[in-house]
Amino acid sequence: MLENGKISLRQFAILVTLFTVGDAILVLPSVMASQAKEDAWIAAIVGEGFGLLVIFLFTAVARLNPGMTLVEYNKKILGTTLGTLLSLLFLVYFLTCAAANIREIGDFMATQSMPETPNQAIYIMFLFVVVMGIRRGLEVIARAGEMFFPGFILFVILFILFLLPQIHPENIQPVLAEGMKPILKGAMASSTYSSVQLVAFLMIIPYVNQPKHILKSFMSGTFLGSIFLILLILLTILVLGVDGTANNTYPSYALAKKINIGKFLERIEAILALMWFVTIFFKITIFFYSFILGLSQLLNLKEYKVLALPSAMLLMVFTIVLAPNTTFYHNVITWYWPFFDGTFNVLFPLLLLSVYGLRKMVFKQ
Amino acid sequence: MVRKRLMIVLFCIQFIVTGCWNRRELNDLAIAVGMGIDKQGEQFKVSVQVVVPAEIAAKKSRGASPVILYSGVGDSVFEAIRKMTTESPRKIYISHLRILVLGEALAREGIAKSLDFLARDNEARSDFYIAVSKESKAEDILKVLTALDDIPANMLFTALETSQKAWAPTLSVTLDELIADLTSEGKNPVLAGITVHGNPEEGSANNSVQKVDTPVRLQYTTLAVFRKDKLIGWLNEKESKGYNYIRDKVKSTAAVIPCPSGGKATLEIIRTKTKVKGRIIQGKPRIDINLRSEVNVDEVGCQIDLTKTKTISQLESLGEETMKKLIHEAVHTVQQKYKVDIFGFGEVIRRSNPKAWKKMKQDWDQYFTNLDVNVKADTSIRQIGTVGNSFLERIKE
Amino acid sequence: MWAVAGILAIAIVIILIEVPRLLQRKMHKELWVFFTLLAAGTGLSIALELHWNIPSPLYLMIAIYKPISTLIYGLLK
Repeated sequence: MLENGKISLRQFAILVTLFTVGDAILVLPSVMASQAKEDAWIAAIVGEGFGLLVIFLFTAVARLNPGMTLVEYNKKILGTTLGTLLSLLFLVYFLTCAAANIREIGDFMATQSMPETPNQAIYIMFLFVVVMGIRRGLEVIARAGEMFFPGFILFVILFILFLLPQIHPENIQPVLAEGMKPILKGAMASSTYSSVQLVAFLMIIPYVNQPKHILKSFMSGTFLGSIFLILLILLTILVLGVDGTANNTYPSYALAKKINIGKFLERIEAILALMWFVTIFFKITIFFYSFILGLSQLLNLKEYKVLALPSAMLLMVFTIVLAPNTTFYHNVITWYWPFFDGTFNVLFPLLLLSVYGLRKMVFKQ
Repeated sequence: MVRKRLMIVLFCIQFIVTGCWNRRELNDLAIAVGMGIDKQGEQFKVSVQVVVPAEIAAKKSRGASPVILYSGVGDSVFEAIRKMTTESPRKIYISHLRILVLGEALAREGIAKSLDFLARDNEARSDFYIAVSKESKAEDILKVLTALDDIPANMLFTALETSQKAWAPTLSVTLDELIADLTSEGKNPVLAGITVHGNPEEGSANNSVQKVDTPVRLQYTTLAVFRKDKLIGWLNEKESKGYNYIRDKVKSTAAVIPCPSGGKATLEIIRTKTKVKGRIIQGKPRIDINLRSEVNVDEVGCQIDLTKTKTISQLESLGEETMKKLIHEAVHTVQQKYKVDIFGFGEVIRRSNPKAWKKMKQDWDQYFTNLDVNVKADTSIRQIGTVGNSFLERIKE
Repeated sequence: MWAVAGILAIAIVIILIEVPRLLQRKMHKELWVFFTLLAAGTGLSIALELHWNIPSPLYLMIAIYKPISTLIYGLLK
């Protein structure tokens, strides 16, 4: 096996949680508020609910092929040619998502904190740590997740507590004013930002040491991440109002700016930014890891870690080239990316399942 | 071997992280605490009150002023601020802004254009208050030095907060609240006003605060009424109070009520909560305002017997009447004189009945003028202070 | 000019870090893949640095998904 590491169920769940929160914590409230207005939180619940269903899909596919990663069983189920083709597509997907996430954190830094720093410098710093993680292997990444997790939970709790004095309950009225359509639009955004990107974990499931309980672990991770996102969206609408959230590029940052406890605890939004770094880091690392591992498995290499550095260069270029400016990027994210995610997270797993089922039926005869 | 590599890596990292690209040393910053925007011809004149750190930090004052005023003129707010670098040795840093003053002349023309920069810039935060300078230019407000607080902008900030908490006809408005009001279809903005008493030029001199009775003072006045982003008029004190009652912004204030047998008594509001509900009755919008307050009797200037519960109930009803009148007057004046919904009644209707609101929102100001507003007040007197009946009664003629 | 040199320098450093080990263990396949990726990464970086116009791959995504996007968002209007 290429990857000798083994991770525990707990580590797996933690990675899933951090991944689900990922970049959604940055921009999702804004997208949701512009699509679903006051009902953004309802849309979030619907979207995350759908995401949980997709987990079933992933686990079903994984269960059929125990011990194999996505790339490995593509070949098994679809045959060599088609399987390789599909795997290549998946690799492109992983790389694109990794690039997009790096792009997002870079844009955030450029907008909010360091506008004069060239984006490349920020990408290099981030990639440096990501590569470090990948070269040390999956176990190290999982352990890093475990390390950050308690801090993350504590932060979430405090964040919500500190903002409670500032909520205006009337901001979520009128409820369901425009009917289900905006909620569906919002739900699409919510699910594809968070849970409907988890297909990358199909590359990691084989390395979990207790494969029987994967579903529970996967579900709890996604569930925890989803709860946080729903609460976050609810909170931004309650505190900032619909217009404030929809118009703001980084509403959770604006939210953190509002924290003011007894005039003593204020201006602590930098800590929120730190949390973002952590969650986005894990998302990027997992996507990038899936790409590198997948490539190595596709080409039957004996080691994957060595590809980290050159792929990082490629990823860097990809990130820069991805979009000429933030407006272009946001447009693509809003109108096209959900379908991109849908193809790889829903369509292709369904395809794999059905072909598997068909083959079984055909061979029985 | 590993240790050696680690050392090399750590050594190299030093060169990457010690110099941040975007670093700004503290002594490269001109920390602006107050900003004023006026119109000068077709351009914006932006004045900025900057802290002089040597003065604030020094144990013995050097005799110079603790703040200094820079101004710049430009086609846009951002341009004007950058132009200030021709006078200021440092770049203006607005993250610590405490107060933004908009000149009345500018306000009458429209404030929206001057605010986009503050909403968009990453250094600007939304925790400063905004006010309109009444019958003066914004830069004159920023020129005046204040006693009790070295930094005038700070004094303006805390004064607005304190007076809103303790007196009521002022209003502290942050940038995000103002933008929400501006963009909302069911509410028009309202801002507090500041005036200068005395000559602002004199007020900039250091010795102006060395007198016991400072000749030049800044004072918050009543509220400014806006139609969308243009100033159209001012409320008086009673109307401003009424406004704050309706918006549930009153924390505590003095309410003077007439005594049952002539004379006046004063109630101190301890807790008050206003609920505004909107309904559509037979296609017409109706607003119900429910005001519930707990008060103490704080000053008695008439002949009443506070030991009798009957008197207390009488005072309570009188209190209720007074507050109802206050609110009615406020609504009435705005309906007749200004004809813009500053109370957010439109928002209330939108929340309770979005379908009806969709039909009405185009002509909402029309509806507002003829709006049926019902006020219910419920005042409970809790305490009457440290003495029973007023000693005024016992002064023998 | 300097930027290109910088990129090449980084590429060389990467080679120095990874290649000796691969050569030692005679992992030829890995070397091939390694160099292909590195060449792609370095080449594109230099192209970027020289301000060649590299179009975003997202244009491809837009082209592929435009029909379904218009369909679904049209339904949800």
